[in-house]
Amino acid sequence: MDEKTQIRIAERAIRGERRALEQLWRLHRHWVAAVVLAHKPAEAELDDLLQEVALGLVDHVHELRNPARFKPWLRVLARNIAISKGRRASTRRRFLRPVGPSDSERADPRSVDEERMALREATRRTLEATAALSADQRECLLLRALRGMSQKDIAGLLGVPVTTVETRLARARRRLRQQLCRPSPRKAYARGGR
Amino acid sequence: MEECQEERLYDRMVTHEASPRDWAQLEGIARRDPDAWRRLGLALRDQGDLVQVMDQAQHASQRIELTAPRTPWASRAGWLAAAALLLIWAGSALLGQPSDEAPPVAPLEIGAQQRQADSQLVGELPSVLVGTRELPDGEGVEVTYLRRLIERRTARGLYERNSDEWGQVKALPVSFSPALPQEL
Repeated sequence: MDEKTQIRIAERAIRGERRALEQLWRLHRHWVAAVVLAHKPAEAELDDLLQEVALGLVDHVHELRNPARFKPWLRVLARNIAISKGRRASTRRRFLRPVGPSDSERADPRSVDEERMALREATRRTLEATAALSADQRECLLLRALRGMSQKDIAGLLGVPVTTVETRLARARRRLRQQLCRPSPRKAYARGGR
Repeated sequence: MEECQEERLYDRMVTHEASPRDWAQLEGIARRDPDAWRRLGLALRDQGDLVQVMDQAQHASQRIELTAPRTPWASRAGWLAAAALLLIWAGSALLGQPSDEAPPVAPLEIGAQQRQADSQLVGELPSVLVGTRELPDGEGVEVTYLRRLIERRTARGLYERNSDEWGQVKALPVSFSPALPQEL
């Protein structure tokens, strides 16, 4: 979908058209997930925070003056929710350790199977290794892992020049590689035991 | 600086955006430092894992639809219903208080005012919320509630409705005895 059409949809959503708002969410939720994942604390649940962002969109979209700025606006909303609500959620979880499956897991048992059990060890390690990056670097890297997201798209979303995105990506890739080349404590132990 | 340039090359390669010139450049780097191929391999592996991470995250985002809170109206249906009831209650509570300017009122309120003019309406108990539902066009909410009006009528004679042996309804005079208020 071209940029002009997206702006028109944003205009309708700002005016309060429900269908336009739904359409906007479907169009942009994939990269919103990357932004939330990049900025949330490790303990916070992605599902919970995405719901907060969706509600934030409904509650605040009418405050947006310029429909052309919708994407950067949504990105800031997602980042702020990931940081502020994520921090609160992680604090709660520190005191309340769940003994059973979470609500989202109960609602969709596939989330346990597909997202935890079938998540390959290497994928999990990669995600953990991104913790060593700055939030800005991590955000660029995760956005770049979305299919069809160019450096120019990311630059537009973040409101920075393309060269900044290039630099962040280059540093992030090198740092990630360095992190992943380190033997994990578990593997080092396994090797020592053999 | 050159290292950063090399990483930029990797970025284009792992996202399938590299041009023939980029590949030629990497070959040049690899002639001097063969480990560049290994670094490219690791960058490809990392990108593959990151794509998987994002696939999982997208799966999570696709489970969240904006169908329940369709509009700001719908997202606040409960509060809206409570506010509507409060307004109705406040409106009826204010009836009878003279005002220079008649406030805009709903048809239901006009009916209530007319009834009061006939000296029938004494007051109203708080309404009971029956339910709310979003309008089919999604542009508002329908609130269903029970109004509990207190009315007074004056009777010059008291009669009890009864039926005779032929089944015909007849009004039979009854003697007056003060009634106790029934529990509402």
